[in-house]
Amino acid sequence: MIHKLQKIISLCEQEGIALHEYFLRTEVEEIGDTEEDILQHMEQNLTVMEQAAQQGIEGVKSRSGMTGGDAKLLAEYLQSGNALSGSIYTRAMVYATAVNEVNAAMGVICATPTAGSSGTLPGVLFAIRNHLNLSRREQINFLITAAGCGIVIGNQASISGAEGGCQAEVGSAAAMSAAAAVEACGGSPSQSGHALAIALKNLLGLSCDPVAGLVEVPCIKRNTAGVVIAISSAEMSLAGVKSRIPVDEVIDTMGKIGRMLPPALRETALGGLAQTETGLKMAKQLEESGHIDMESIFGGGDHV
Amino acid sequence: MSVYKSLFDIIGPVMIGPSSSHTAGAVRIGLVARSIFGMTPAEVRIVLFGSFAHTYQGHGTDLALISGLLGLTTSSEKIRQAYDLAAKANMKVTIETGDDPTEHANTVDLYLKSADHTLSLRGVSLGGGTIDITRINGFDIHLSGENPAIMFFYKDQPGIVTQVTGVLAEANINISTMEVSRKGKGELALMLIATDGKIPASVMEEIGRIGHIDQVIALGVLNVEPNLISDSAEKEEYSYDPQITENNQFM
Repeated sequence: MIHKLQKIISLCEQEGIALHEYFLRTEVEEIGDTEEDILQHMEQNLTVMEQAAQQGIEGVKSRSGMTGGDAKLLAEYLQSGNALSGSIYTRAMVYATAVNEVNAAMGVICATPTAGSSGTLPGVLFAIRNHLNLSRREQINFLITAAGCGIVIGNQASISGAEGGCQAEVGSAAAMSAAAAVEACGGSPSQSGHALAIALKNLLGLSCDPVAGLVEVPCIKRNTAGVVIAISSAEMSLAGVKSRIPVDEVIDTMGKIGRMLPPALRETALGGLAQTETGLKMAKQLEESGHIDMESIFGGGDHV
Repeated sequence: MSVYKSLFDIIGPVMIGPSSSHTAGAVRIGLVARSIFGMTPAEVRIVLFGSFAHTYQGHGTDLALISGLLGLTTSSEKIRQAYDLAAKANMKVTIETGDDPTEHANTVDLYLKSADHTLSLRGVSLGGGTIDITRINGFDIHLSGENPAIMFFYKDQPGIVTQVTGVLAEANINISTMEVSRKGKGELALMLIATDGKIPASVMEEIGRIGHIDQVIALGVLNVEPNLISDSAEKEEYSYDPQITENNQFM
């Protein structure tokens, strides 16, 4: 596996192949599985993502009582026809929220690249697939391109919140999705690289500060926002906008920022939103009773 | 170091939420410990460090480690009932947290015990469900579970490596990585060999016959997800209706 994405992009452009073709070929060569097995395995993962999205839209509740039901709200809002950002953005938000709510509820999901960031990539894919009329195989190609980019990010920087903060999780997921979305829209490998760089730049520095240590608040909403960054970055790149900082330098920067983040902001629940007055109240309630009663936290009224 | 090699290290594993590093990775560490130990231990002491220590309850890291030790996979719905299952399997579990600084944020030490043998092991969860076993019975080592592997303890002396690799070469098995770690010259040593293909039982037996080698332990590949959802009742619950996601009102 080549470690620099720019090298992979140049190689693809020289050979006139797409990123997914390169990554599939590399998987066959380096792991030794057949192309058929890889495609079949990837399709199984795609099916798991679909099942999770479906389950989340129907409405789930986490065991802590902290989250669930927001995908349903977003879906109803989308149906009302009043969504400001139009159908693709809002659809992506519905699916991303749905998958992450299922994850929080200890349901079955596919990590993309992690469980905490498992909503972003299916959110983007399911929002664009019908609009682009993507075949099953093209959807699998989307996953292969995203996965290949994720390997490069993981090896050059990190995909672990404990190591690099949320920028390494939702940041990586949004970046991978942006690159794959560009390819699905017919963009060049080089445009995928710019989209990846733009998406990652917009999430640099994001802390991992889960309330009560649970992958719920703010993780779910960060996936919901991650899809918007992913799609807008793909749009910019498809329009011809280029990242002024080369893609591999952006990836390295994410790794460096991750190492600079204090441990309190790396999945320990010792800083950030986890240490807010309300965050601590929720953690205390969970510790004492094993459950969080959101009504008692907010006195039953509306909150902002 | 290239931690991630396969596309499925990134898109995958299929797992029970909520955290790939704290839940799926922990199941896998438990699974490796179980496969080295060769059986369900009678007693397990779990010592958690770093982020594992701070957030294990919220992430179900304890449930995940116990589930792995019991042989459950990352996508098993039974992970939630790990303590009950451990009691049923007569596996006594104690959980502790440690303050010692470790190299990685998600680190766990496992101490396994049964009537006639013990095993200590350090596991690190690297993110996305990828793991590294960095210590076995005090020997520094790296084991990811991504390749088939064999390991064995032996008395350090000249010629053992050649004999073992000779057996593998004869069986046409290619070695992908190999590590040897010893306490001191002529003392107890640990050899860990990861291979490209599966190692047949006959080859294992032949290696076991080489002098000064203890029992040879075979380690399977972790990143193969045997069944997405194992129980048929659960399958019903998740049965996928393409109508709903392909053609519903949101698409």
